[in-house]
Amino acid sequence: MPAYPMTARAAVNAAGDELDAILHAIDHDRSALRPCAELGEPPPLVGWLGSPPPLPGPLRAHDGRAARVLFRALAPSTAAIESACKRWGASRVGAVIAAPIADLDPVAVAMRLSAPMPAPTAEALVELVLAATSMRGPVYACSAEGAAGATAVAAGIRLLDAGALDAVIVGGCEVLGPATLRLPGVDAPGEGAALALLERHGDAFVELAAVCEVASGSALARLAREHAHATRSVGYVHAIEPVEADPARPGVPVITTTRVTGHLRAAAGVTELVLAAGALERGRAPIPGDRGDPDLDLDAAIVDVPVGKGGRVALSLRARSS
Amino acid sequence: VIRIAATARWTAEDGPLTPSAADRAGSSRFVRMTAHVLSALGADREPETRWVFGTCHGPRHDAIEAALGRSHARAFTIPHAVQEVASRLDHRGAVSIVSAGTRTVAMALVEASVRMGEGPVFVVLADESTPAHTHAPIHDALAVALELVVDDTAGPRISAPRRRSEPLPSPPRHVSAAVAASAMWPALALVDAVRESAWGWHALEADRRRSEAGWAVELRPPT
Repeated sequence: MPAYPMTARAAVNAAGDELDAILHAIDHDRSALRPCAELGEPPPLVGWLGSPPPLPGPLRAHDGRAARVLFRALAPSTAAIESACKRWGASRVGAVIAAPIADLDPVAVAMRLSAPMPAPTAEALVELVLAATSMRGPVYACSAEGAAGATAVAAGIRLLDAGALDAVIVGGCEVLGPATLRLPGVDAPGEGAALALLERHGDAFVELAAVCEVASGSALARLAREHAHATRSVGYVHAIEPVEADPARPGVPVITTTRVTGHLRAAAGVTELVLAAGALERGRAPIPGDRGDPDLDLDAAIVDVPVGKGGRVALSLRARSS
Repeated sequence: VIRIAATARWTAEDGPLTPSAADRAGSSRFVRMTAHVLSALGADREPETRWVFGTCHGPRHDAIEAALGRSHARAFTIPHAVQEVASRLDHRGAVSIVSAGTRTVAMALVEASVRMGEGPVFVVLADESTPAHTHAPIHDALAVALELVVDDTAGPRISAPRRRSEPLPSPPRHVSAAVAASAMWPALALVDAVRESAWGWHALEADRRRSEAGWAVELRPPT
């Protein structure tokens, strides 16, 4: 695949609603996980976003907790998206958004109130993106177990590689509720959204250089084997959980985010992607405490996340000036 | 241009799903009907082939039925339901799960079309019947599967889906009233068109008010 510049990015989760704030929280190992009495008794430990503000008037038809959370990441990016629509044409710009794994809480609320069932969350997110932007290319939601946001990135890259689009928003959104929390799953989940705008050409400091998906085994190892250029000067590996260090460069630090943000599931993968991009731009890996290496050669990063039943996705980012 | 190697369909009008040796207690109808159409294509003999699942409601019906105490289905999330299908058919390949409301059929075919470079793809488009309490138009369950291949073998073909700005040359095909309100009806109409050799453009958006233009696919005769 060619490298695709990342011309816009945004993230929101319990650690902050801007990249710098989230990176700062990781720098200082400051967890945003809190016991949340609204979600059950005893209060579960979660990365909770409280009460996100309702969508603005014209978008109110798509309102819902997931849409509110996604909009907090989408709103700061709309100028860049509109610029891409002008540059490439609206039909050449699209989006792939990872939707929350469970759609149970809107069902539970509607049944409790004997109210009409709202549209499925995935549908609401797609309609929100179409209503909030002028893009008219393919826009769809994807679902997966684990860090589903990484599958949205891989799907968006497929659309660019196939020539179906010239610019794509890849994103993910995760929300929590009492019914969803009763499902078996990860400990300490979190809420949040993240998105990145990838274009065929454009001015950007960071580009996505390689994507590797594996059904089983190590995506990091395959990335190293098949894309040696992508791992030649890796500054650090960004993961949502501890992984083996980059086999192409032993000693490369591995940074994890779940202890700070909670496990963001559908928003994970994309969150790590945009945080790694932010770290490359500021030239400093988000290494907590005194574990940082001031001499770290930070011009590339790899994001490594689990997806589905044993699968993994690895994403290689590099600074374009390198 | 993509060849449609095989198709399969099931609606509630076809009668109950035949119990399979692979059925397990707690398997929902969503799981059983999608496994049924995939088995009809021989997907269980090609465990590495990629799957693209398109669904609007997924197993939401099952979640509601379980909440009402009328179902013991286990898979309340779409990834879990698809994983159960994959487990039953011993599938080990990549899976994409796509939702886009009334555009779900179109977007699943877009996802399949960009996956074709990696080999054949089984596309499954399915929704359960309208869940209780939804106040939505009533429709029956349906499941459709297509095997898509890029090769030189003779057979019906489809173009990659595209968004037409001009009206379709003919109105959307008729589908049974029982499924006409489902977001998946364009998939059923497309499969029926293949079987009836109804070449030409076919709407992929389920919203009939918008189906004069919008996402569509061209079905072409065997060459």
